[in-house]
Amino acid sequence: MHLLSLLLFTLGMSQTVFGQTNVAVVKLLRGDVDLVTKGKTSKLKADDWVSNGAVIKTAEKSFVKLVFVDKSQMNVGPNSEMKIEKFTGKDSGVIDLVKGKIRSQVTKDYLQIKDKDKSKLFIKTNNAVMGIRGTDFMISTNGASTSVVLFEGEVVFNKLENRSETRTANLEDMVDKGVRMFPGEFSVMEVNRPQPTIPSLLNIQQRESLEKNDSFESDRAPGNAGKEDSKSVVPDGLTGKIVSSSSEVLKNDAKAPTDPSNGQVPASQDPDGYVKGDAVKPANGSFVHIDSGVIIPPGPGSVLDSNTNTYIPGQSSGRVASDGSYVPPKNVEITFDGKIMIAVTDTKGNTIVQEVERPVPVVSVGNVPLASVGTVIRDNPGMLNPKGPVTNDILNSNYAPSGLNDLSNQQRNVSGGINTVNDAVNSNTHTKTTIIIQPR
Amino acid sequence: MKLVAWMLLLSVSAFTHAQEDAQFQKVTEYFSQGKYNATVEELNTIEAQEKAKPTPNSAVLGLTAYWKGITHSRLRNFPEAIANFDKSLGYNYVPVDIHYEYGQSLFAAEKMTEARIQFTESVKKKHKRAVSLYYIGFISKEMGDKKKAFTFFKAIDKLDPEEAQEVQQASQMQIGDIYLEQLDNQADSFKAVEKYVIPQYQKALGLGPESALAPQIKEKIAALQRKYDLILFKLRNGRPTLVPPYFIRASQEIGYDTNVIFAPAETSVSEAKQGSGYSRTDFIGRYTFYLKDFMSLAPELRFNNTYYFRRIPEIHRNDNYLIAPALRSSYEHSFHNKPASLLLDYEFNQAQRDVNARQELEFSSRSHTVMLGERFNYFGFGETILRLRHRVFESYISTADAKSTSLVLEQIKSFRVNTLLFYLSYDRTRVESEVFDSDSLTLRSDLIMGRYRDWFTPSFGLALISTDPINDRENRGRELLINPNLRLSKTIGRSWRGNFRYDYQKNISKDEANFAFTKSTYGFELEYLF
Repeated sequence: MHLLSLLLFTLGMSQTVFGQTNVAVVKLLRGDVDLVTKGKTSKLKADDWVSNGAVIKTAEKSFVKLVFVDKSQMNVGPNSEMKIEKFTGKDSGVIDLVKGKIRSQVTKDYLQIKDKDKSKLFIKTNNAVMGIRGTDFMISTNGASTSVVLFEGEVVFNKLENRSETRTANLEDMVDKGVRMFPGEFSVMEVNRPQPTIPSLLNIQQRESLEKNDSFESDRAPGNAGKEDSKSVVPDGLTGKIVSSSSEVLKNDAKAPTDPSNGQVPASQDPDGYVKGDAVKPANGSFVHIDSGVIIPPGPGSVLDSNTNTYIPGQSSGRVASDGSYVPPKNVEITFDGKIMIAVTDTKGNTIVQEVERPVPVVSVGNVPLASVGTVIRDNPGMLNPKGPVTNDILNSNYAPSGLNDLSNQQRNVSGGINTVNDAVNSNTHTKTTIIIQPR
Repeated sequence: MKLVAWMLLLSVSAFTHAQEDAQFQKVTEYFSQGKYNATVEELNTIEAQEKAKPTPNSAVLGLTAYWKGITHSRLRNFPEAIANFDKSLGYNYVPVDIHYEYGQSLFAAEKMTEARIQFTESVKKKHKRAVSLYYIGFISKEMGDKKKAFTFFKAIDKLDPEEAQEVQQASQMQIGDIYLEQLDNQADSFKAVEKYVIPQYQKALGLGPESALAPQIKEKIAALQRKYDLILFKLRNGRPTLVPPYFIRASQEIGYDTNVIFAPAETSVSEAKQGSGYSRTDFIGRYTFYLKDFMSLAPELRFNNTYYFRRIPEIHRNDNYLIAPALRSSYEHSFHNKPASLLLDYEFNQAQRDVNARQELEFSSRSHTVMLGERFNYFGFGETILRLRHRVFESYISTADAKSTSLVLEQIKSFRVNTLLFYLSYDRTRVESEVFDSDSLTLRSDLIMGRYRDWFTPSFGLALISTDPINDRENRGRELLINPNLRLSKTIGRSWRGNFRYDYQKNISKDEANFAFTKSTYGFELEYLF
């Protein structure tokens, strides 16, 4: 490996003769990938070198794997745009992800930085900055929200106030004030929020599938999960925490081989999640819609898996596809820009598509499962003919206090004759309905 | 040679064990990280290797099956989980929690009978006893075996409080559900709901008023109260009973009367032709008892006191109070397939008044009134009340003693928001001094409007009373009293209401000196409804 590193480095440095410092080589490429250097666009091919300041743009279903001179790998997913702002070899690197996804395995040896609390690489997006201190993670942005899933190592993550900032000392200050993530956790920096969500453990199946899918293969087939429509193990009246059982036999054997938190207490210990002022801690076991950063809580009927301290979602919460993407329940669609669209048939038989507010990402007895929201709308026709305005509380908050309890506070949109959610989304004939989901 | 063979065998065995240990170590690592698909894959490999051995170790196969069962249940792959738990039991590998885990998978797969068996085994093994009992109770309830469900929910109470605590509130709620299911279809279920179901839910609520389950229990109680207010507390003809059965109202009015009229004996009027402020206190209390489902009896008491601020004889002689107890009864039946009531009321009324203008409230009058009426809904747009009323009036002046008989028709017309009331009565009054005998016709209509701009409730009324003084027509002629009025009400909170009212009266009489008058009354009243 050292030999390969030396070879790569030597080859890379040899390119400086022509004015630019080459920092990464294309090891794998699928589909259509453009390289923009000094305003000139060219098609990227395997074994091509990429220099500082270069912009890489991937088309749909395309992907490129870059190996940097320090052996770090960076896989750029489909529909992505990434700029290598700085990768000098002397200081921490800075990458700007304009949109799309990056899966990266950053070598622990990068820069030989001994201080474990110093970031080895920064990745910026429109609204967030991440300092990488460990190894394996995925970052995704739609240009507005940013989500991070950590598979191994450690990252720090915070809101980015000034995108043009490239000074690593300043970026370091920013991320130091942010959230520290441990393996298995995710955090989302949502648009118009003051801070990222407190790190929480991702749904275990989504994590496993995403971790496997490091080359962004698209496969929306159901993962190796149970039937979406199977009944919940939680009987009415009890919670997923009460019925949870830790295996008597396995609990002694199946301890984590190493403590990933290095003695620090991960923020994800509270499995239920909470909303305290600006601090939002999603429930452990939540799904993340990677493209948009929408968090879907485990929902009613979820049972706490004491082995992983995550909730296993109940029926009607959606499922995970083989590629690790979140697939919402039938008649629900989440758009790239994070709108949750519900299709419902009204009492006259018309299909109506409505946008609903994002659910509060915590576990709650009173939560309405995403798949049932349409039924709730149908059974409460008042929601389709609302009187009165949406309250300021709802408008001012992404996580409105709620519970489908005040149906008069609904905005509506009726777009008759629309048969599918996607048609409606594309037709722009919808408006917004506020579905309020109340934590208890 | 034999020795070499043994040594080889031991080496192979040691190698195999070492390999197996490493594999289990891997399984442990995957499992602890929640990599359940990888865990299953690794366990499948171990299982296949074990089965390939000439003498497979049933303990290894049992552990593998059990572990796969646990993992599949986390993956919500319940059929696979069930198959593997079953296998584990088949290999006689029976860890203490297997029945509970197996039961949960069967429950999720809706194999209720089998699930109940497994939870019973879990109780026997004292693993998660409270939750297991709850599952048994819940499954029994789902299967319609309410008796069994009740027994198992109740059994939770017998556990150590610490163990029972986490499910006790839910089990008490379930017992409430069972009570309700058993009682809901009975004819007089409202009584049982009130006596057993709601208290049971309240008991459950008391175990954790702020718990996650508490809102659900509160909603159940509220839903029952809503439902049975309308459906269960019904009389036999379908008419709902009054909720609450009592009506208590106290009010205080401060007003101004432009022309205080002295008319204690209802035979003549005497104008003060002067105005005065006044204070009027009123109290009314009524409680309705329901005798079975066909009859009600409602004792009532009314007290009213009026005091005029202007202390001149012409005015303060109108200071008065009255006490009016009454007993009202109804017999419920049907008319045209709609609820109807036969009404029989008795009212007593005694008034004390400063009749001699001595600033002393002396006996002024008393009356006994009996009313026989029928309340029914014939026209379909509101109730009609027809009454026959007879009153015996005794005055402080014996010549003013009177008897009157009235026929009254009241009609209610309900609109979407507003309500219109009609009142028509014919009164035949015969007085000890015959010159005051009269026949009169009263027509009154009131429109009570819905809340105006969510702020107040206006109502408008107009009364016309035509009086024929049959023995004094020459002097008085046919008199007409015109009485429009306005009232604006504003509800304040749950119990308070403020009313502003204006009342105008003009009596047109041929005998202008003694019987014609005009007056206006303005008042602000504050009411409290208990």
